[in-house]
Amino acid sequence: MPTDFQSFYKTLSDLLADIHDNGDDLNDTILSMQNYLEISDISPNNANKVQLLGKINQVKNDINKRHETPTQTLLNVVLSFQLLVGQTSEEVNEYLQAEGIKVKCSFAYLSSLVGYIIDIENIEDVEYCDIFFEVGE
Amino acid sequence: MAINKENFIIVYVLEDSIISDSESFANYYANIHDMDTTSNNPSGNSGTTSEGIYWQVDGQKVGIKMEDTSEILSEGTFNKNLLNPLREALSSSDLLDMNVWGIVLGYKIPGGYNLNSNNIISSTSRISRINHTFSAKYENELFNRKVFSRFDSSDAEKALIVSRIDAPNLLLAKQFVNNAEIANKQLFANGIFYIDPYSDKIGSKADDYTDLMLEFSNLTLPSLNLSIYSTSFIDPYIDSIIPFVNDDSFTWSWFTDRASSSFFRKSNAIRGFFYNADYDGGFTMRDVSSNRWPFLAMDAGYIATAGAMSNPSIEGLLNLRPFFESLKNGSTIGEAMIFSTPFLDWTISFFGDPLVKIFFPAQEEVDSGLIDENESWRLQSIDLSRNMSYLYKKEKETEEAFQLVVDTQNIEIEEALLDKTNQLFKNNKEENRKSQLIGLVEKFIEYPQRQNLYTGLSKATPDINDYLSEEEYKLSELITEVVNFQNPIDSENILEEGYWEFEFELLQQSSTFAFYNFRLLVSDDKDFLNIIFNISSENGQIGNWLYEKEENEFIQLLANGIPSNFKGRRIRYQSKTNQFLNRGQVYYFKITQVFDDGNNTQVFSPRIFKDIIWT
Repeated sequence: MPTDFQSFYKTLSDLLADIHDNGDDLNDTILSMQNYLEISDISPNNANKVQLLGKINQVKNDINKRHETPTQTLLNVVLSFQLLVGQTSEEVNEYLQAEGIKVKCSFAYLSSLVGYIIDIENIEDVEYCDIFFEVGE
Repeated sequence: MAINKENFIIVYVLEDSIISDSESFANYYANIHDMDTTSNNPSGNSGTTSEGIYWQVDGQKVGIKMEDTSEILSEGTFNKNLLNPLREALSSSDLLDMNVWGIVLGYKIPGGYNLNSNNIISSTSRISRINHTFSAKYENELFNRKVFSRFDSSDAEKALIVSRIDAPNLLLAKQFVNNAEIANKQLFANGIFYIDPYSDKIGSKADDYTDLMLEFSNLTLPSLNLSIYSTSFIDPYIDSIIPFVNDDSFTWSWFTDRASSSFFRKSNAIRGFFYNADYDGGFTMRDVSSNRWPFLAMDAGYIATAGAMSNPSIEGLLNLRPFFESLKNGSTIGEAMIFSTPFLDWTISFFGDPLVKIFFPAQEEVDSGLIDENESWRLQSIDLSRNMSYLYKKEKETEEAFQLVVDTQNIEIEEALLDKTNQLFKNNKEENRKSQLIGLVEKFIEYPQRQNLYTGLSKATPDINDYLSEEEYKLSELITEVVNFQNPIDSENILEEGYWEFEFELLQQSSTFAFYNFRLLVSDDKDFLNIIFNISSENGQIGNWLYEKEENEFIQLLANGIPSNFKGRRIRYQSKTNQFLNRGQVYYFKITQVFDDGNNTQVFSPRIFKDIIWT
């Protein structure tokens, strides 16, 4: 590994977390759009309103599949990335501990989906981790 | 819970051994409203003030053994005979349990007191603030709030609803209560609304009051579904007058201050509220011969009215828009009264039954939580732009991930990640992100064109540019670039890249009436370690600051700030060209309301928001 791998690891893991986090924001904005349409002072049976709501629902489903739920493409990146560090969760956690790296909550979540459970002490701002899951302690 | 009879008490003059006319009236009122008049704890609910005035509470009835019941008292006599014993009574166990939000001052209760040779403070106004120290012409914090809500316990801490029912004799006082009772049995007030916006008063304040009435005529009056009679402007020195009223339900006029009973012809409709904005109409309710409006109106069958005991100044006159907006929203007359009076501890007096509700014919559904269709579309356009912007952000981040791998120039890393990050980037590239929203954007752009086909806009078959121009809306380029429109969207209808606006709701954060200015910090860091812009509306720097004067209508901020009564309305800051930020980047906005009361600047708790640049 290059000598600056530590910084590469932190930067890429943060980026992957941010990429995943867009899913929630995409979902929030489309839900807000749907809400504004639903509460407009036009009959819920109005054909144009119904059609627009239909399109919003399609996009909502699409966002769920493509952005909120991690895609296989994203998980492939995460898996290959962790394999660069180790074969097991223990090896990855030892690496993070040794290098003093704390990953973002969302990256820890993605990592768990590909079989690498990251310890709480290696996650930053863990108290704000709203998608937190049972990790190895 | 909304205010009701359970929150009211009736005050009367208590006499030894006999049931006074005043108590007889209180019993009559309490009986009509089915109020409780029994005392649970007689010994605990009576007392004598340090000045020797006895009071007693029987359920919702409060009797005070007054030494002087003249209509106008001196300040000392008023406090001794009415204010102080009533204050003690309100602290009795029964009334503390009751949550008193409103008080009816019954027959023979004094109407006010001489503050000095110029000003007579009305009982209703002073007792509204019975729980507060007297402060002449105190700005009413409940006045004219722009986002409606019913009177509640927090309002009661600021001011109580107080009205007075007095008359030359007991029979007439009871008749005034009957007016309200008759109204309660009818469905609607469907008589004519008489309005007289013009007077012979000159000067900017008089013009302002006329403008208030004209604004009401344009914006609120049509929604009441009533027939309207309005006077016309003749000459600045001639007071246009309503010659008489007939089949009337409401009258709001100014300024001719004396009249006769012949003014009121017959009306088969409920006579709801009468107000003539003058300087001494409320001086007496006991003198039949005074020819003042409030007495004449009540005598003619009106449920409620108001009048000044002495000159309240033009800015102290009642404001009719909050009055009728409140009634329309289901308020009682008492609530409408307190919401429409600019000052308390002042000269305006309310008369009549505050518990009555008035309904308007074919009244449209109010407070349904629905929003105007055009405003809905505008807000959707912003959310759609934000959505596009997050896709744009994701594209940039996946590109950055790919580039990060490339930049390592490390074979092992490239072998492991190059193809995979490249695939991730490809999946989120421009054409892919646009294709995800093409169908939605097409439908979204079609929507206002279809909804306004043959109706609503100046063109029968408007295109999107017609709609945007007429509504003065602009779209983000992130939306307009998604679809190749047959008729491209004009550049003047597209927001410049990097433009942003920040919108928030005004809060009432001061404990008193305030004029708020604003401080806005913009940062790319959630902890605000790096401040990009520090923007303030103070010291007249109101350019690019807007406030929601009417619902969904924004105009430039006022130089002295936005008053408390606009709480719930929105404030907007629009960025200047040199403040544009990066598309697809998330920023943090910290807004702080401040109020300079002339002596010092109060700074209230800030609020922090996050938004992506969506243009």
